[in-house]
Amino acid sequence: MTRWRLVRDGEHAPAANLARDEALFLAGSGPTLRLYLWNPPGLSLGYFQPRDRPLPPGVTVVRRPTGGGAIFHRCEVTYCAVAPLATRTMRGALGGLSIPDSYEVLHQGVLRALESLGIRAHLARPNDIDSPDDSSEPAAFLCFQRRSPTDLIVQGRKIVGSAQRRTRERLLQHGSVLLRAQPDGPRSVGVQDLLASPVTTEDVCQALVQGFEAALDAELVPGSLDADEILLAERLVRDRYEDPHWRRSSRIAPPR
Amino acid sequence: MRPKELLYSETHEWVKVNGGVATVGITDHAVEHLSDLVYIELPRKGDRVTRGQPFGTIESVKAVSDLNAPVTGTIVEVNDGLADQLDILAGDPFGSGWLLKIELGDASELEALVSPTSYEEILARES
Repeated sequence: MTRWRLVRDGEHAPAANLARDEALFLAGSGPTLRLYLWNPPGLSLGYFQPRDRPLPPGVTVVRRPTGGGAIFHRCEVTYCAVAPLATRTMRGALGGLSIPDSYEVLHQGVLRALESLGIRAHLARPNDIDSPDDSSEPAAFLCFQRRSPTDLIVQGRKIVGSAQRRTRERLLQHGSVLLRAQPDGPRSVGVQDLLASPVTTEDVCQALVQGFEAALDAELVPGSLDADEILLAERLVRDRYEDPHWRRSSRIAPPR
Repeated sequence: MRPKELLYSETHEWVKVNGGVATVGITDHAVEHLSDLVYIELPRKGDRVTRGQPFGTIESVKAVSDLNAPVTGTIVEVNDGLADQLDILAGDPFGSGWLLKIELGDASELEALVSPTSYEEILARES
């Protein structure tokens, strides 16, 4: 059994949320699971999504370090898993796993959490998935309009949208577990839309903790960001996430 | 078959040296591991890259990953056409899917790269 740090991180503004995720990634921390909310709400764009597209006025827009489509973060609990990817010498956690395999392990954690709340989700089946042959159709702008084999689906609608970033040594995967459907259409669904009895964010967080513990075969030990990680997150807010022109390749050095 | 005349890194880049210039790409194994490629971000001509450090990023359907430089030097040419036609990289990673041409800063770094046979052994150990 591996030990992961559990950071129950409350709610933060959009730029701070992405900066805190990336600080964990850059600081070289041990395996960490961060759970958090968004206040105020925000729209996050995938790393490579064009930023010149007209976007709803009055919404804070941030660019993720991860790929995929845009997400409107409002009624959701977000998870972020950061772990070393080292191979032979350090198995356990997510060491050595390919992109699809690491998705599968982490999404098993979310599947178990949903199941404990009374929701039966499943990984996308072939008839759920966008046809990869239809290259004339550009990928949808919004994450929850897209379908791929790692997605979690309930009644044909997507309930979790996740994205991953990798360096040679480390993995970051964050994902939105919807409490309510996205405001833009019928292809998403939230936990609270599916259950007759009221479910709080606390219920969802606790279910996620237990689900990830089981899927990762890990003990999640409560903790918080350390002083170096907080300083790095503040730098990342200033120099990256509040800067509309940042390029990934303009790197920010981790703390020494 | 992987080209015999190339040098390889443990992190799945290849290097072809011609005079003082190294053409650099990623191997078929890296392309396969990433699977469906959708976007790439490469540096500009004149930028400097450092061995072992990221020089760009590539997005496949479910992950954004670093591209790492196998040698140190100054970029003299970038395969800019790839951004619009990533199927070239997927289909011909050792040929028209090259990424950068780098003027070598330190030719001794080439000694850290390995032969095609050693690269096959690395892949066998990883699998």
